[in-house]
Amino acid sequence: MVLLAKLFGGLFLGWGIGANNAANMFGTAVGTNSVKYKTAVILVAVFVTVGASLEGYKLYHGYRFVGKEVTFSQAAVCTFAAAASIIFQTYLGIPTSTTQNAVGGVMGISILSVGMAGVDWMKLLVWLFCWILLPVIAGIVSYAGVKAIGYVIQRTVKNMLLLNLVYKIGLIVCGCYGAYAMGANNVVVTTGPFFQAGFFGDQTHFHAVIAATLGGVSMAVGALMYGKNVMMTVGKEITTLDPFSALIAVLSHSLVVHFFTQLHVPVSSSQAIVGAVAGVGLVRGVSTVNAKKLWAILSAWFLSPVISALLAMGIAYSIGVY
Amino acid sequence: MFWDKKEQQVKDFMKEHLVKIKECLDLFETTIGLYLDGKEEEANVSSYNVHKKEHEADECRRKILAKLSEGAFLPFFREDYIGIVELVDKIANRAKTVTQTMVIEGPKIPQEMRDDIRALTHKAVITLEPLVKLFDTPLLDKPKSLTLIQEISTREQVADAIEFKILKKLFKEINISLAEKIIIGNLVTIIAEVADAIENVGDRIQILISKQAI
Repeated sequence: MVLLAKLFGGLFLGWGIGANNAANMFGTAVGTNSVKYKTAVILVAVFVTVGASLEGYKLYHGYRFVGKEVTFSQAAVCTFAAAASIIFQTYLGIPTSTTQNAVGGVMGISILSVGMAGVDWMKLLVWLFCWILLPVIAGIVSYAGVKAIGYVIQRTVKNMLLLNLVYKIGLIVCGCYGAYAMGANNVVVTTGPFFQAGFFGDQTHFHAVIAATLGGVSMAVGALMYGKNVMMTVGKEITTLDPFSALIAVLSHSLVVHFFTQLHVPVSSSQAIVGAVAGVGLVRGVSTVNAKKLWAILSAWFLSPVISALLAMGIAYSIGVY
Repeated sequence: MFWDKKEQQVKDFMKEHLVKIKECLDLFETTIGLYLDGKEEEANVSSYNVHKKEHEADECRRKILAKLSEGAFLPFFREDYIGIVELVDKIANRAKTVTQTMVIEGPKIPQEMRDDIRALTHKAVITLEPLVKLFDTPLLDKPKSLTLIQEISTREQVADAIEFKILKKLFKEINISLAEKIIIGNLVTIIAEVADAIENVGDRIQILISKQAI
């Protein structure tokens, strides 16, 4: 319990990711009765943990903006600040993203600890570029997916029963893959700073896996505790799509998030799904991107990291952790 | 297969439903034939058999709807299946309405019109044949499905043409009272509506097929 209390900020972030993003993976499968709510959240919990354990470590070594190691207190402050920033922005009605708040927290602590000049701004710029690229790539993959997979399905599946089965299984498989990709990519924001602080021991591959698994479990708990509620409300984003479009959107989201995991860049799962849905909409001649969604993404890219960084700096400065 | 057990059951029930509809239409044709032959008592009994068969079709419809409400098919498809089942059931309802109307109202059909009505009834009943074939065809095999849907439409048009010819003959050439003409005219119209009901199923299936275009 003491261990968990020390990691509170990080685990809270993991819990939030699990609770909020389960709907992105299984919203359609649940909405279309392909899988029950209970089964869906269990699948998310399992695959998010598996993804975090098997591939989460890839982002752990590079989750820093300064040359020197951070302290445990700094790690605790930056994760706590990110969590507080999310709550603060949600309270003000500003759309936000967990990943970008978490990165902002790390950035704030880095600036306070080594000054503006010592921070690896190039890495932040690369990450920002990746964040901007993410929904665009997701949209392109989604567009290509509709064309390519649609072509194959239309030429091979002639039976309604088989088509129904392909969509049913496809939605579940893609949902599991989505949870896996999200676990692998997003887990770094939960225990990454603590790994950097040496909380889990030396920065070895083994300790990165342990840290990632713990973070994965926090995401799984979030999915199990609140995934169902969010799926029933927020999950409408994707449940209004027809099964084929939803399948392609979730698959594209998962492929792109998984791709950025290989590049060791933490990205937002929600922004990937918005891009993927837009790509499907483009093929179908339906506009799925409106000013509200654009504002949500832009504020998450630029406003969230700044607010989180300022909060982290403020908290760290006030308690003398720098 | 475990994954599509419910869907397979729906498919089986739908075939069973269509068999009941086919049997109902066969009895419907027999009933009209008996009535036109002047065997009113036998037509009465046969009409009751149409009613029983329509009830059996209703039972099938309920089984299908129950299976669909248990979660067979994705909701995206389920709505179409419900629509199709309801329309298929209406074929039997129409047949029952015709035979009931006939035995209750007991119109005196002029001799010179009997063969025409017999022909109309037969054309309406055989409109079902391509629909039965359609149920055995993979629906997403568009060339085959659309050809069968077109065949249903063609047969319905033939029935329509006969209906028009009969009504024209009835009101222009037959020398009976206007009241009798209206009663017989109504009977002819509702017989032709059996073919319309079958065509409606074909049209609904075409919507389902069109929705699958990617």
